[in-house]
Amino acid sequence: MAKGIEVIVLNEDTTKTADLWKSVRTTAAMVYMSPEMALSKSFQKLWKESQLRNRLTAVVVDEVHCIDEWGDDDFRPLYRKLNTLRNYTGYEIPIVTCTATA
Amino acid sequence: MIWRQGTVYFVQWNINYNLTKFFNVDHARCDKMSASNHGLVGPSNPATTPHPSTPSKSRRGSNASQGPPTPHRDRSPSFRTPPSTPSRGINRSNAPLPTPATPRQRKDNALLRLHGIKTRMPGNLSLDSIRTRPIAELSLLYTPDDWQVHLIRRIFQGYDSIFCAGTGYGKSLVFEGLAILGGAGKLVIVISPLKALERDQVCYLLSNFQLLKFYGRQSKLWRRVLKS
Repeated sequence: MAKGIEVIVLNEDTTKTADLWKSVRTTAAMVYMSPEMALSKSFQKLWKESQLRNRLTAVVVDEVHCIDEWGDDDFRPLYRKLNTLRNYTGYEIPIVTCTATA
Repeated sequence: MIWRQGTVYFVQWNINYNLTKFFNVDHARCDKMSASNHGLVGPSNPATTPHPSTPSKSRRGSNASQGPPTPHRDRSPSFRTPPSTPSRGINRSNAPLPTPATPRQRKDNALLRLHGIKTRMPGNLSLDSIRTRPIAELSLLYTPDDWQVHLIRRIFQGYDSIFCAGTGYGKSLVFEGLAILGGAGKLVIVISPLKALERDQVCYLLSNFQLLKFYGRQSKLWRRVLKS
């Protein structure tokens, strides 16, 4: 089962390791994270780096029905603010969304 | 205009002179050859004599010094017609000058174009390679469906997309395929709602050795959960 993709998870458990951010910037092929992480201040710095944006093939939003169901007021309000990612990606980087519950 | 033409000749001759000097051309021989080509004798052709300072004088001089051969018939073209103005770089001598009636060059209307859509795909991204390369790299036991292959291709072209597929239809294969086919140094960011979902998908993608490293990074709590 040897697979040659460098995959990284960014969440509160893993962000404390220092080389993780570096590998997100340079080598990682896939990064999994929550919308809160994607819109957090530390990651917004990364969005503004052209090095990261040149590397980006696509931004995938999994389980998009959450935007509708969870994005209301209280539970996970940042789901509704995912559209601000468009400001960073521009039209060059496609945004792909998928769900099984629509 | 005359003054301008004069300066242009001057520049041209200088260049000729320097070039011939640079390539070690024998000047006397050159002049003889060109003269014989034009039916003249002696080094008197102004087109080849590198004499920058006084072009008009040399012309007149050559006319006078042409004693015997053909006083009435000048076969050298430079006597009848003055040399045309040298073109700058590209030869546009035949192109007409723009007038107010000339139609302007038009660009595509930016509003009618689709933003960010690439019309040229990288050569290695044929439909076949999109279908076969994930099988090799992820050691899949099935071949990707048509909709997955075409969707991956569309995404590489730059189209945004929304797709709905039931559980187990291979949604995640699409973005794994994006990561594999994107090439070296490319990144796919996946935003998913739950830590557990992230963990599941990463565990599927990582090899055993990488899994060990991955869990090494995790907090103690996760390790305890995974042991139990």
